Amino acid sequence: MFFVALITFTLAHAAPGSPFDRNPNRPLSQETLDRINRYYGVDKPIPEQFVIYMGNLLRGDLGLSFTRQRPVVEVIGQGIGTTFQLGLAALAFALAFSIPLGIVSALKQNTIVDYLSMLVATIGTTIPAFVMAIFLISIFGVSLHLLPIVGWGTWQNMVMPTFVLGLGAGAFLTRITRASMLEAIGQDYIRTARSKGLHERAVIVRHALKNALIPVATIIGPATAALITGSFIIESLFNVPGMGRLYVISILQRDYPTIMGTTLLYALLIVIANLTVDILYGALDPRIKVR
Amino acid sequence: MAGQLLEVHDLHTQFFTRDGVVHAVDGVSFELAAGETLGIVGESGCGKSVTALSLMRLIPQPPGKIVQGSIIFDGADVLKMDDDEVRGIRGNNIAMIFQDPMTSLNPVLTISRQITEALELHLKMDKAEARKRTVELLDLVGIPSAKKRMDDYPHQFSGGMRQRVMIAMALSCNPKLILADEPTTALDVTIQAQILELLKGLAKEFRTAFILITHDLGVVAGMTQRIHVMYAGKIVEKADTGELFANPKMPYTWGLLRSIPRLDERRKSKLLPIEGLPPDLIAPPPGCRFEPRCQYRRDICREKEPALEHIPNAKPDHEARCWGTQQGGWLVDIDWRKEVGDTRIIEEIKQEVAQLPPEPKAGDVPPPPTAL
Repeated sequence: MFFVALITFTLAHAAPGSPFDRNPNRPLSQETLDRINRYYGVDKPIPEQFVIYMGNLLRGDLGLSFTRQRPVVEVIGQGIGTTFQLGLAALAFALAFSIPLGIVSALKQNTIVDYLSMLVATIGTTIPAFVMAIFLISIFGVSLHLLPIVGWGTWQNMVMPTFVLGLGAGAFLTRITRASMLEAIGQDYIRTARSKGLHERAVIVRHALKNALIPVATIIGPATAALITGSFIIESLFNVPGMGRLYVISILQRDYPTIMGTTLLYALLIVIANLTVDILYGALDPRIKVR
Repeated sequence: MAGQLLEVHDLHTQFFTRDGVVHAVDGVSFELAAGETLGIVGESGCGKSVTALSLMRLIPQPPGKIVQGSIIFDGADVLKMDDDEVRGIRGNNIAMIFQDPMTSLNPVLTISRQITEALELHLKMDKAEARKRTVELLDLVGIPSAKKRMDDYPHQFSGGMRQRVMIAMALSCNPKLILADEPTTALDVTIQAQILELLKGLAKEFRTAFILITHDLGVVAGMTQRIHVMYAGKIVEKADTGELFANPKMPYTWGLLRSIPRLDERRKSKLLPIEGLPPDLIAPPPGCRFEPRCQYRRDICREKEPALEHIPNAKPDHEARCWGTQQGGWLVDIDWRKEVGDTRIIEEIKQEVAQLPPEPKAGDVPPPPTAL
């Protein structure tokens, strides 16, 4: 986390421009500029700013947003709920369709079912989210008037962002599930299970599925990360007031404290996602002991 | 024959691959009485395992398919049963022990779970009964402190212990027949002997018939009452175990026997491998399948396939698939042992073979051996 902070800090400050030179039509006087810089502590040398920032960070203070004149914690707090709502909905959607689809296409390998679901999965992975989003907006929003195009707050607002965000991750998970299921059902212990006279459903559910889900669980960590990071684009496109949109706006406005705060939060979320997967992994696979 | 536990008649199992149809099992017939023990011997890829899997209808389909034949187990044809009936037999009446205990147990389930599931399914035991029986079974196969270890996972056991678990699993529902497919191949030699003894002892105790499949004649020697030798999808020799070792009647069996190292050989003697590889089972040779590798072959071997027939100079139930050793053949009186362990003698044998009385088609000179 320290390194994430260091790198983000350096990069953000290395980018040309400063937060207060945006409006060429209303140039601020040098005096005002100096005063503002001093107020936000931007006049000090960059390494010193970093030390001050880290000190504040340890006390849970993310600083003051340059553009909103409010603490960053508060600004992020407003967006985080929305982002979580969207992210979890997308993850749930992705898991709900990808795992059954992957299992079915593995069991019906080289049949129409398999080819169709692989087609869906390929479309989901290859078409970028923003293309898909615009596509959906034009069909359901503009032509059919079924769903609101932008905004947030009602379930209708959630449908399209969730679908677009979940599709990419879910398509990827479908492929992984199919591949690991195919591998699992080819194993010797599946033959052993069949030789015991178990019903095919018991063979698949009890013996194959648990083994097949181990690699899938590994992927859920990065997939969750992809959902979180993917939400930049989706939130901006659908004008969802979440962290992703906030992040993009704050970068455009060079709002250093907000950039820092959001980045650190993203990093923290990814770490938590991966940690959860590791723990899950230990529960699924007895060969790996959680110590 | 009446009163047999298992009658396999003219079994054909084929695999439909991109390169063509593989005739993995090509007309295999044999019988097994209740409590009887049988060894099926042959080198890799000759159809032994496929035969065993066919008996339980466990051939992966596609690409495999049992295309012809009948498997009468306990009076009913396994091949005519529906899926539910077959599942009722698997694990219950016929159990199987697989080759590699490392991969044949499910790594994510405890061994007790893997044993109890069959007990609950076939013997309708409840959880507590099944667990109690599992402890008994694990004790029986010699797993120390079975009660404590039954909830361990397979990776916590050694290879030999895992194979004991497999045997416990196979015995769990008191099957009438156990198919052991190379049960000791993946184990080291000292463990092999223990596992074989265990299997033999338990089968005797419970009067379970078993079929032991192996590529190693040494393994079946003390284990089974009868031995069938398989080559390229066909049974090429059938005999009682003692008879087969004392009086083998098929050049392929001779080759197998010669390739076993012996302690009582003189020191400089070499092992004699069987030259070449088994034939391609997509397009097997039209005549005798061993002909391309046989050092005793004649023209007739290439042209016509011999039947599995009774052999002169042998016990009545001894059959072999060889023109040379059958009635009137040129190998009837040959002493196959002469060349054991001495490569130098091969040339002498070849000369001797050339001098043997000619086969029905007079004037034939044995074709020059083509090295495969």
